[in-house]
Amino acid sequence: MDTSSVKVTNSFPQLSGICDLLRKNLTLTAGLIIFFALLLITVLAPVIAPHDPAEQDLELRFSPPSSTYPLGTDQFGRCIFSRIVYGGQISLAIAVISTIACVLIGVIVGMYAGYYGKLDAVLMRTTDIFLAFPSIVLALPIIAIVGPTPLGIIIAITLPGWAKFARVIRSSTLSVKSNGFVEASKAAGASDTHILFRHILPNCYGPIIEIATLGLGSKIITITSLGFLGLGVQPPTPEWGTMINQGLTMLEKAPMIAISAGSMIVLFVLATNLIGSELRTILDPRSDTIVI
Amino acid sequence: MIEGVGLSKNYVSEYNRKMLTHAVKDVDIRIDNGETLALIGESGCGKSTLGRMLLNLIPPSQGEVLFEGNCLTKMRGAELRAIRWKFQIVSQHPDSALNPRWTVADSILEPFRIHGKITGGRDQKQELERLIDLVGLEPGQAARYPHQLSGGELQRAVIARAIALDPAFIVCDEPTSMLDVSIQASIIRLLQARQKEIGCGCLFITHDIQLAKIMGDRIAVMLGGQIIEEGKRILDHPVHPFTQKIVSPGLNETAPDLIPACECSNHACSFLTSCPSRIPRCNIYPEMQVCGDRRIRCHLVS
Repeated sequence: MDTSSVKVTNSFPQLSGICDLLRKNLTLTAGLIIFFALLLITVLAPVIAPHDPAEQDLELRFSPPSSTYPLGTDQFGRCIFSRIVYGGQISLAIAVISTIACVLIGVIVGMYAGYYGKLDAVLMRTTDIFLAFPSIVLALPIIAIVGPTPLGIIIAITLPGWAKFARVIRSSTLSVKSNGFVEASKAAGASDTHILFRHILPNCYGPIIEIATLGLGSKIITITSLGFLGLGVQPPTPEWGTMINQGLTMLEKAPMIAISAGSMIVLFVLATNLIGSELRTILDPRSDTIVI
Repeated sequence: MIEGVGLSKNYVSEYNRKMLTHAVKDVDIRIDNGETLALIGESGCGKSTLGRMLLNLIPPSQGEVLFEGNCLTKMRGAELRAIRWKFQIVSQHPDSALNPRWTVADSILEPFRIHGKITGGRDQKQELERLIDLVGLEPGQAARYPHQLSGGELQRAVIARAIALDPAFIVCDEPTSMLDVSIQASIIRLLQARQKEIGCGCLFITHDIQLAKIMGDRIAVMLGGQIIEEGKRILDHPVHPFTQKIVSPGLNETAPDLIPACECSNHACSFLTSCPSRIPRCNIYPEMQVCGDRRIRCHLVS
């Protein structure tokens, strides 16, 4: 490697350099703007929404967009815009919380199996069972026990979801573990905790961010399939996935239901993917393309 | 002084529990403070496994590792970690020896952070300056990430980390085999100079016979998991047929017909199948014998 031509570019951002980073990295900025805009809309739902999302006006069913109903009304005469704004609260919360839970469980199980190897076979066969089991079948008894509340839905989505993370993190752990720096660290007297959290975990960030961002969008869709069985978010509580599902049958009469809910999910997935891919590059010093 | 007594390492096949691979068989090894033992042998003969057993990175199947009279193989957990800094390793692949997500400086200072010997930021800076100066790196290079340095520079950084806490014993596992020929000499000189300064023992594992002659105060030749000859000038005056073969390749190529596999039991001499001067007794495992200033495993010397 010719080192004379390598420019020293400290690619890890310092706190003071974050504004500079955002100015130069437009992809990340765009992702963050969309993400925080969505977050703001859902948090400020009571202020933004012109109507109560459950308020029905049966005389105004399927009315087109107007100044009182910015996106028109649905089959019960409810304001679609208000339902979209409120629907984000549940959709985003469930998607984000269950993904974080999946990552946490996956990291613990995956790193334990990969690093220690003691219970490797037992843990991996358990993950195989969870991977092979249809997630809906697993979700049914959980929701039957906990009830179709947001908490029940989070558990029902997390339980089949962690296995994929555990698998990926285990294989990353195995490959990082065989590196010389882990051996050298051990030879220097480092504890297992030090090796796991300073050496192995940071070198697994790439795959973790990758599957986490991919999973966020699909989690919202999973809520829909639960809703199809009547186990999802219960009406009249608005939720994006369920809105798409219902809106599809009324696509000719009130296209705005499915289109607007679908657009919100697309925006959310787009934002997380933009942030995820840029974060991965920024966290990896080997990507010299970003000059800060 | 570090000493391995009767060290063996067996690997069991995961699919057939009866299939044993003897990576290292009954090896006695001793390295005094300030002394370099050069260990040479073919690929896969157990050199690296032996080195890692001495460092307690691989637990031996049998035998003990003694450091100044303390048995390292019996230590566990925190007790072992507290003594670990006295043994260091310089590995073959400098590319993977440093965490790609840390700066080189962070990697060099890792031993200090683990053992908490240094508290203030100023001291760490001083230590870093001292170490990179010792191994001949530029301060600017220490602030970079490993992928931005060349193999030779990385190996210097690895050496800096290895000598950071003034260890008592270093295993150098083919430290120059992945480097350009032009850089090898400077790394070897660096290793020699730093070792002399610290006065630590060194196990220098290599393929290169000339390098072994230069580095080693004593030389050990390994074959099939065993040390078959060990002594001061064994490469100049080889006695064991295998040592003779590796010192003058091409001379003893006229190996006799292969012995049928059934006769080569686990208890036979490791060199049995291709030894030019074998005798019937070679089917019995030769014991290590002291012969003048050398130790040798061969029936021919007795």
